[in-house]
Amino acid sequence: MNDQALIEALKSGDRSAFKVFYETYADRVYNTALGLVQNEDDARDITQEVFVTAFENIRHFRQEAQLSTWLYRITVSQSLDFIKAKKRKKRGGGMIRIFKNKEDRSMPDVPHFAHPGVLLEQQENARILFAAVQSLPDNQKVAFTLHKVEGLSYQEVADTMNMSLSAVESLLHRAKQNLKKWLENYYKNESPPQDIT
Amino acid sequence: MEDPHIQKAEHTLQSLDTLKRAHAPDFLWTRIEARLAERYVNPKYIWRLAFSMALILALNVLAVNHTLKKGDKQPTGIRNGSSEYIDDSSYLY
Repeated sequence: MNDQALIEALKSGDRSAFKVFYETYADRVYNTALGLVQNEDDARDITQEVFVTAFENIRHFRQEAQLSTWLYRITVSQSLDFIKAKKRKKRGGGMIRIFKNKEDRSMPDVPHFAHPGVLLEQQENARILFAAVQSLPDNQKVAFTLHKVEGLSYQEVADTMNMSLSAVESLLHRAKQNLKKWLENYYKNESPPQDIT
Repeated sequence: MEDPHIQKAEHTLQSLDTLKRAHAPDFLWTRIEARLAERYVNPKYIWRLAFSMALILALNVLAVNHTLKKGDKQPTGIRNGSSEYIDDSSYLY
């Protein structure tokens, strides 16, 4: 079934089309969410929300963008909302961190996220790189994840982020520079800087 | 010679070059389907639902009318729809 026929079927409320829609796009949505939130349980929850939102709003889809682009936009927006909510929750636990001893605070803050699609011999490096990605500003994080984790072309990233091609090129260039700086610091001090902004 | 930290950083930056897309777990569809079933009503079923509701309403109206017509034959005490109890037990004596 091509995208046009699928959209028509979805708009008419055909339940079997919903399953085709899910099977076609589930991995893309899940992989993107996983790259952004870096947690499998959270990525599952976001994938679920994205499809429910898409099913509910397909009637309003005006086909100005491709179906996949529309779905990536929902995924990115829901993932960023999720990250913001999680950060807000974490800030509530700030007092605990104040009372941590100095030694604990100097430990490198590299989470143990291992993307299931990373080759075994690359896993340690990928884990450190994903930690570095977390420190990027949102737009750089999104562009980098869509391009490097999801494998979208620069043009597809530009369409998803509603930006020009040159803006995406410069965003990705800055993201790589920031990541390189973060990684150099990490290897020099074995203690990464908290944020690059 | 280049700084080994810079070399290491560049090497790490390439660690996602061979990354493969992660697969969404199979059970997710079941969860999504359950969520949709809670919220979603297929448009073609809306007519059936409306027809069923109209039928139930019509049957109710008919039943009420029938009960009202039968009102005169109601047993003593609830005659004419009055809630007031009429003591008509003189036939016992």
